[in-house]
Amino acid sequence: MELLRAENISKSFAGVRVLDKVHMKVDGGRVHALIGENGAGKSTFMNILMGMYPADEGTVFVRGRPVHFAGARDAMQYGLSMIHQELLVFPELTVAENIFMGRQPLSRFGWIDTRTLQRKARELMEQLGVDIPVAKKMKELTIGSMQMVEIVKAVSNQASVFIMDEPTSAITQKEAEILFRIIALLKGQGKAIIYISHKMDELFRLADEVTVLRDGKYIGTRSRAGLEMGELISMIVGRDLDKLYQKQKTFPGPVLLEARNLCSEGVRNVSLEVRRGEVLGIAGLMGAGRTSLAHALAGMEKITSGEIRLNGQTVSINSPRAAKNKGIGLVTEDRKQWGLIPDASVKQNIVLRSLKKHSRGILLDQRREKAVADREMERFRIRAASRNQAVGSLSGGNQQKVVLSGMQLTEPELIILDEPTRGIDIGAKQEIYQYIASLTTRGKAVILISSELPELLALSDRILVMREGRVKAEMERDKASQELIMQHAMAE
Amino acid sequence: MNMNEPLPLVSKLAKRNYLRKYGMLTAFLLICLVLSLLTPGFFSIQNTTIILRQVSINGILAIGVTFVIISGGIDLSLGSVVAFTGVVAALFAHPGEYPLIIALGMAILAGLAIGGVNGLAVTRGKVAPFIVTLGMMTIARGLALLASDGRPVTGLSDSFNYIGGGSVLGVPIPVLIFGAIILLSSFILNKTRLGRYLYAVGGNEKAAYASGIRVNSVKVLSYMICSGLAAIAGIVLASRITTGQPNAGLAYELDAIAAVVIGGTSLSGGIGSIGGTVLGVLLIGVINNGLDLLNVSSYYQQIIKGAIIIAAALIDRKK
Repeated sequence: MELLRAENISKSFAGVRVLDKVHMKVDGGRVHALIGENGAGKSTFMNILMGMYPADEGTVFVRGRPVHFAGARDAMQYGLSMIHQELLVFPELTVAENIFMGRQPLSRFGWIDTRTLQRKARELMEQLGVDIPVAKKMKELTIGSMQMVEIVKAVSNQASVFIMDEPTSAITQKEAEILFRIIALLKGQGKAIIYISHKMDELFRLADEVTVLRDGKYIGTRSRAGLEMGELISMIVGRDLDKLYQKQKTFPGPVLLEARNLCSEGVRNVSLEVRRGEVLGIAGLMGAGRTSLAHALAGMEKITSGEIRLNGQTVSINSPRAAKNKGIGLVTEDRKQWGLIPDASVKQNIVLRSLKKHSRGILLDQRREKAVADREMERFRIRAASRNQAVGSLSGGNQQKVVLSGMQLTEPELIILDEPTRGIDIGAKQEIYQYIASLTTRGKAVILISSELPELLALSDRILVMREGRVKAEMERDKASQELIMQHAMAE
Repeated sequence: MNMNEPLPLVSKLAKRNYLRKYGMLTAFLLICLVLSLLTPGFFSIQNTTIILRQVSINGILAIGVTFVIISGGIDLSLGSVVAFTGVVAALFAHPGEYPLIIALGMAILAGLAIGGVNGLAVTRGKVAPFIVTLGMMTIARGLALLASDGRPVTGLSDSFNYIGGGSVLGVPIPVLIFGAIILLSSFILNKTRLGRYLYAVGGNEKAAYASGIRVNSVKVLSYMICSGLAAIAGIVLASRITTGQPNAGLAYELDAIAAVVIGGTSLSGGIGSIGGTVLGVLLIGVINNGLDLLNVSSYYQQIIKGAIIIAAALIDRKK
């Protein structure tokens, strides 16, 4: 049964058309994936469905009747609910209070009836088969659990259409499995799910239909049955990619970095070596210590014991500055927190790490900075209005390319990439893969951390699997498989 | 699409952009225009000189605190540092005891030392800047009273008193000092690596650290620049009132921070300019002066000044 239909939705901002006659028809009991590169108009489209912006043209129908929403509240009354990418929760309140925010059951005297509140919350949790303590404060939960709470909240609002914007971008594999189970449950109850994601394997696993947007235009809707990866990718990027993952033959050289019995807050007794011209992949679940290892090697997390050798020499790396000077470059998984100065320009962000090299003594060399920034923007195909645009206003993929270009200007020999393609579109991913390939052909060493196993398998020469801060397995590329990695990542 | 029709959104954006860039300048020029129409004496060389001399101390302080605020901190100890360094300068400025340079040097050293302590407490001690400098506000006041034994230090040399009272080619020396500091600090912020690092640390401290910037050193330097400039303000003030006054400079930090905020510098760091701060200083000065000329009671002046601070923040929010 048709629950939601959008016809000919168009929208312009400041004279730029960001949505151009977009269609979508969502049926109950189905998962409808919405995909497209960053900037394709997915978020704008969803915001229009939720009544956050008015559409310039076009109509939204709920159960066949045209509707006009003046805000998310209206949309919610018609059964639409959005689980946001960046969660909107009250961290200091309990799970139950978050679920019933604004609709708390009151006692006879007019104050909040905590017992009824918690009982009702528990009932909802049981219906969905979720096990989250309702009396816990929201801030004590993992992001995955918070997301579940948001879904429970939507269910309690009698939602019939659930919009999920990249729900698995920040949660563990285990939590994702719970999410997928809930999605199946909702589907069985005749609800509709609009699922936005960049992850191909999820789409092929979950979706019944796929709608593709590109540059604000409606490209098409396909049923999953009979849909091939190649066709989908060319719909998304508008050009044929021979293969998303392409690995050139590499010729590993001498050992560049060697770590012996490394310990830090999140790393237990890790030993590893990386050769020049080699990509060392690191797999593991969230919290397995992968990021801690990256931070320890790049001077961002204190090493409590163990030894690091670079080119055979023992070195001490006690700050990011020391790591930079020794030729280690890190691209962190959290570019908002560790990678960028959001209010500063693209140019300033690109040259920040290598500013000393590009200035004259203590004085800045503005002309040189401009030249370097222009060159880098072209090399990394960074799409920005100008080099003076604030970097915080770029899309995720372009922000990531700014971080990469800034890092490589320090001329590192060892490049550590922690989830370099998280939350960015396929076009940008492809460019980052090419960049990684170019690093190894130039004899650099790469440590690649990624939760996307197909990506990791395709790009790495060797893979280490981490769990609980330790390296649990090491495998050559041709002997590694997703199943094998997961097996080691999850248990003995 | 009919191209002759103005796009409402575009013109709105343009307006917003204008307001952001030139809002405060426009407000300043309008106020000057209104005041020169209302009061015959306002638009004259003589009155301009008076305004500039009046604002120069607040100006020097405001520029100093701009450095700290851009790097993401705050300094509440300025007023007390003005008093303490003024007393230190005065103690070494009795006629015939030490050369003038010693008086100036000791005051500036005292200022730099206080800034260094502030900076170390913030960086090594990891105490919030608000708390550190709130504490220092009291400590420096106590030091001023201790050094002067609670009494004004008087009987200063003519050469010392000339700094605050004298002028060169009709321009008061405090105004010349203020001007030189404007030029030097704009240069540091816009043309040097330190300037870029100050913005980076204030814009995102973690990213600055991960980029290999010595975040702690940059912060300590910002506090030292701030207190060093406060010492210069302390010298100018002591010289102008020909006294090392331990009770001087009360609440000066608030006027300085107000000027910085009016000038569009973000209290959360990473955004701001010396030009904006100077405009904020002038705006406060012109309004005080104009209201004086119009014989508006100083009670009203306070209310108006406060309203302007809030209005400036509102304009800032519209961004």
